[in-house]
Amino acid sequence: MAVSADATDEAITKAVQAGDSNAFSVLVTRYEQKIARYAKRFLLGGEDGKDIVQEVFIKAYINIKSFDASRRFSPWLYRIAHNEFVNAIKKRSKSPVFSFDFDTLFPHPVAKETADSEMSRNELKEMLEKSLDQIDVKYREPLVLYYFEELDYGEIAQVLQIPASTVGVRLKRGRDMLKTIVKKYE
Amino acid sequence: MNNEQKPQSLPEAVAAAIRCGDVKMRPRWHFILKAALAVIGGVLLVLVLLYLISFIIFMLRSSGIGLIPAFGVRGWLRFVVALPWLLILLSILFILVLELLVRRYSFAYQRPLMYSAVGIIVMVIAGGFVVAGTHFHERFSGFMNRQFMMERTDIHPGRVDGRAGSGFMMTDPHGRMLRILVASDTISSDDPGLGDTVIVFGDVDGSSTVRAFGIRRNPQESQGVAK
Repeated sequence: MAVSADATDEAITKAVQAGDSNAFSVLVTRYEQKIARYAKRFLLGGEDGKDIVQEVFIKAYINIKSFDASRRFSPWLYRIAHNEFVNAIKKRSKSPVFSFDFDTLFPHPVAKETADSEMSRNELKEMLEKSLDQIDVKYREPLVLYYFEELDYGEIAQVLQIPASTVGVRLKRGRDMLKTIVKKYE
Repeated sequence: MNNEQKPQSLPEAVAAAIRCGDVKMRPRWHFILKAALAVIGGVLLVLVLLYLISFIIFMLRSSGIGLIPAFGVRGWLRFVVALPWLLILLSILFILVLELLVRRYSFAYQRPLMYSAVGIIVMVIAGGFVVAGTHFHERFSGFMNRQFMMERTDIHPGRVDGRAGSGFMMTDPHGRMLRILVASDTISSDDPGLGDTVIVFGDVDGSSTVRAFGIRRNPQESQGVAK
């Protein structure tokens, strides 16, 4: 049974789980650009980028029966992508990517971005694009997910498996880092 | 050139890998089994932790070590030395493993780590007190009792059998009669009466005489465990 082009990700996932393997191509087409973009910004290029993106979709297909179709598909897929990218960075650097993060230990007030923030979202995105390689990977990833992939705090928390308040802390520190970098070059 | 192959797009490459059978969906039971094993592992860890922590509490109570800090700085120092560090470190290790296991679930990782860690610690310590309050370890922890309830030369649990001068006679869990010498500087909240279960802190002088540095009534009646 063919899935309609306007079917939701979750409906398509249900069809794939029921055995319609062809429907998986619809999901790959929908998310190909997004995951490739996420990989490019998180991994900062590299020759293996395309292979890693392909591996993300293959892992998603292999594990698709573990997906709960009552939840949103995109954070689940981004989680798989996150794991693959972290593994890729580990292989490249041969050192641990994330050590123990004290930010996840204690509660923090969730600091949401306000409309009257110093830099507008678009300006920030532009600056980020130029300076991503100078931002620590721990802060780079939530910035990419928030500003480029447009995931909300809750979804980023699901992808990174950290509290939403820690997402807020990392975004704030990432923005502060960006401001410092920008000031340095002004 | 006609024999040059056009590079496959990503959806085509993934679809081809699925079609030719290189990539197969894992069956649902695989994930159910994995989740079940994680739950069983978690439950077993909790049970092991309950056993260890309740044994530590039981041991501190019945050997009298838990009462030693009442005897000032010397008591505290002896208490720290006498703690079953191997069991404590093992418990900490199991708590860390349990925390790692729990952090995989959204109810845990959505909140700060401190919440789940404190939750686990409170749960196992409270459970440990409940188990330690039963006769479980007296009946079923023979091996552990032999390993960890060793006799200490300066901490003597026992029952008062009679008066002897300024001190008293006491029978320890091994059935030995000890003469307890009480001096003016012996730390004691009140005078133990005949039949009272007490903890005497002090060095043995000779083979059966103890110069008491401190004496306390022991509310725990489980003297027989060290036999």
